[in-house]
Amino acid sequence: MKKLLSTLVAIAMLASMMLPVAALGETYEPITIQFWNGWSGSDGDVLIEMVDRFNETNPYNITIEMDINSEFLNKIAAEFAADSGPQLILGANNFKDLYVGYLLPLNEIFEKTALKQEDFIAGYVDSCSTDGEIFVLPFQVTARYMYWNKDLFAAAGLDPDVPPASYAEWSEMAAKITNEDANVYGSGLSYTATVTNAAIMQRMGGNFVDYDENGEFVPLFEGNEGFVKFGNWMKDLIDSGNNPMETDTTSMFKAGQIGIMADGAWTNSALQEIGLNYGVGLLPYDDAGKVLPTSVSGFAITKYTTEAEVMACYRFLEWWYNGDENTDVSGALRWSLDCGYPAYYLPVVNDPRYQASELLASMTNTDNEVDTTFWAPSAFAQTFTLSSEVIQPFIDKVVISGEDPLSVLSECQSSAQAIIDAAKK
Amino acid sequence: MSTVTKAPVHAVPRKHPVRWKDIPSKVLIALILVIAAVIILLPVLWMFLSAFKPAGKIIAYPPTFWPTEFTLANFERLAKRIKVVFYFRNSVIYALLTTVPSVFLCAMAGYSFARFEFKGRNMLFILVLATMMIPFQVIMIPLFLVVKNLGIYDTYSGLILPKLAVAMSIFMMRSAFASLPKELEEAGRIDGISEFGLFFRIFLPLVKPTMITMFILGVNAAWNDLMWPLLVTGSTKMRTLANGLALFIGSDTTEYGPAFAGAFISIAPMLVLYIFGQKYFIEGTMAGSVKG
Amino acid sequence: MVQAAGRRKSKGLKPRWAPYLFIAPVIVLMLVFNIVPLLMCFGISTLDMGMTFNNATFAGLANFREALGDWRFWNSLVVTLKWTAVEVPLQLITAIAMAGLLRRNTRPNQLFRAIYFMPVICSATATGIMWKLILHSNVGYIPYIMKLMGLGKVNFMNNPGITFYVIVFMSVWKTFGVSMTILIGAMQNVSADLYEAADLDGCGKLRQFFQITLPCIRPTLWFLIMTRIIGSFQVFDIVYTTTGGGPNYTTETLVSYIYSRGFGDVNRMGYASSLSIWLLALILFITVIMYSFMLKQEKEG
Repeated sequence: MKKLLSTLVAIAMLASMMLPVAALGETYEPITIQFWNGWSGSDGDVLIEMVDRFNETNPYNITIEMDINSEFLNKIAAEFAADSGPQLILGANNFKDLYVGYLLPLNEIFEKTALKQEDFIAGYVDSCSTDGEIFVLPFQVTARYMYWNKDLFAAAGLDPDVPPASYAEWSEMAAKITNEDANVYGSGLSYTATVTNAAIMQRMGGNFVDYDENGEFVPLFEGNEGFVKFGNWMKDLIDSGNNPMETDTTSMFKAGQIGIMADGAWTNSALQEIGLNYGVGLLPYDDAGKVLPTSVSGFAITKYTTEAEVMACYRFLEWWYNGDENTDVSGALRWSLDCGYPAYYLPVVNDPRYQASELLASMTNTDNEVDTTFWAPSAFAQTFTLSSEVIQPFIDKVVISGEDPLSVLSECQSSAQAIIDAAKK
Repeated sequence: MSTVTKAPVHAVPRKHPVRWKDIPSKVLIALILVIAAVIILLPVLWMFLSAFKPAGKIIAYPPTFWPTEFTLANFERLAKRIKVVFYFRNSVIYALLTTVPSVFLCAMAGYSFARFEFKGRNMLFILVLATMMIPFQVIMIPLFLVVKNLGIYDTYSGLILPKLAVAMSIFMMRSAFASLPKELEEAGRIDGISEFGLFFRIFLPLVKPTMITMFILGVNAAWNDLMWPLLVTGSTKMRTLANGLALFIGSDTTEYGPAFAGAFISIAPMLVLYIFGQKYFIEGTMAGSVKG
Repeated sequence: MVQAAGRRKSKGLKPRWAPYLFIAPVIVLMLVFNIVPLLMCFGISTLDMGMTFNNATFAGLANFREALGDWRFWNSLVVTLKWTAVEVPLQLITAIAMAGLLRRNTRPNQLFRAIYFMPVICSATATGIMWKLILHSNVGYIPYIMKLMGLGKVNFMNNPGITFYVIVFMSVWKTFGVSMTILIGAMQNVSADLYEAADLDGCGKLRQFFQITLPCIRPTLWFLIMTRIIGSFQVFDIVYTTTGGGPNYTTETLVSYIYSRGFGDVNRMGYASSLSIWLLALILFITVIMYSFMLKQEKEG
């Protein structure tokens, strides 16, 4: 069935590509698209390779000129301030709020290309949209996952294939794994990894901001028992000596010095290169139910783009998601297979190669009841402000200064309220 | 050893007299210098040696100093990811095109401040000082808007012009010219040399060491400048080595091996420049003291 | 002006236009690329705006007032002043001591100078990650060696009490080579006669250093003190590449805080600009005091 579908799609695409050329002998004007992003690091290699391949094989005479740039965020801010910019960018889904008026809605792509909106998992597209207008088309989704070192599990007499199923178990196992002589810590939470810690916080205490009965945003910090629980849990781990006071716990995990940690999907490729014997899976759920906060980043087209260029961008995106007859792996699929990011696009999810990957299977959520809300409803634009102004200070005050979580939460409530009020203006 | 003989103090040979009581302090000085050198070098050496370690050995417990096995894999990855030669060329172009004209323009300004009395001199000097006080991050976006509105974005002019007037250079050049004797221009003027001739033929050669100092410091700053070449060029034509190296350092993932390999490559030309320029470099920095 | 200029010049009269002509290129460049952006920064500071000028509204002096009640602004101001008070003297004393020891142009001294200059030419980004890794509380090489030597466990990068001083050390390590080189140049210029006379008087090397060398290089010292203090108010790179301001904001300097308001997670360019203006006023105030002090000293000297 799936095979049939993909064959049909391939034939359709083949036909659509051949037709104009064959029937009308139409030639395409050369067109160059500036494509900027900040995907430095090893993932960038895959991106470069795919863009090169597109440039070589596309029949539309399109050249994608890509600039991967470590200062991308500063650069794009300066460009937009000067009222100019490249045509295509990759950014976080909050670009839709950060750069209101600078990005074009992408809904038309579903009319002008073979892409179908139903193929994208709806929750992710929602988080990239404002009032039904899609400004960012998902390119990569990532949640935070649980990584565990199987060798250390075995050494502590634990079953290497059974990671903790709850945070209480996390603490128990960490205590068993910790080995002061070998400088090994059972647990590896970084006190500055805000998004990672927030992923566990949200599992315990639910969304940080939500709608009240009048449809207004309201912060949910004050008296939140789940957040208190998180604060105490993390502080206990550190005080008991089972979790280091350290920002860079990922390096420790790579060195085989950490039993259990939480991190993004990007760490997989480095761990595989090193050859560490590790496991990865979803973080345990807690009091707030099935919560899997997932952040989305994706393609956006700026307003500095002509109609012909928009079409060229669409063609590139279509190719990225669906591939063509010359390539058996689309960009979207390769991004998952090579870089270890879970899929957001159904043809990728249903691809046998994706399903054959144990790693991806262990990170992919197949449960439809799971709530992928990232911190707050998607219309809430200030998640990143919340991160640096409310959530990180909470962790700092509880973990470093040793203040009482409950009273810190009251402060968080008012600072979050101030952010909401400022945004209303 | 002849110094032990009870020769009168003034008869002690002038050159490098070795006295017994000096020996402990000599040893102490040598010890201080070596310890300082170890503190300075240890981290740098560790970084360079790590560039030759295979993945998984750079971050390891127990940590190692000397690689147990040498590999060039990090350099290969570096070469695969970025066009090292091309980036290197761009770095050289950027460094030379900004530094050479800058040294001349700043020398001219320093000369003017040091050798002329004119209306508004103090005001203009305070203006120069004021520019030293503005952190780049503060004016980054406005500066970008200026470059854009002048129509020099993505051009060599846009890349270079904003980098030419360097307050610190002008400051040091002023001191250098101020230290030269008064008679120089009087002699020149008697011979009927024009003002520009005076500057280029008589004064400029005398501050060569200071110019070389400014040149080395300028090249160094340009060589490691991450932000400006990225910000002001739209295309990938003008990516420098510093930009290339930054690609291995991400907020979530840092590839230590290639990053260290890149640091190893990028430091070499600067080190050569310093070693060859050292003599002038030290002389050039004398300028400030001469008045004392 | 041209006619008979040759004769008039011989009396030492200088053409009026010459100084302006020499200075013009630099002044024009500074006006266009420093002063104009600065004025724009003033303009932006009166706006309530995000990353872009879209939806910007006039806010008057509200941003400036807000800063006065912002505890992180005050905290970063205190951190910056502390930085100036600790880093500048430490850096200058190190540079003076090393310059004093390496004054002579011998072969070993040249080698040591090159070694001490190495960190200056390393890229800030690379040295940032290098220090973070080598001082890492768990897998870092230096804490490991210290542990082997029985010096106990030290958490250099994650301790609100000491991390600030660790960053100060890194900064001294990275930049004292420049100050040292400048000072060596100045010291070599001190007349050898003075030392010979002192030798004859039986004056010890250490006393010579304090009574001859230091007074003679006073202008250079002033130059360094001034530029280092101005620089210390702009510390950013070393914090950005190592701690990012943590732990608990104990290393957050003014420019790091300004950057986080403008470009980090908060994106309030108007507010960030108003903080910049406060910073600039502060630097200006301190520079004017120092400059007048320096001029007084130069006149006396």
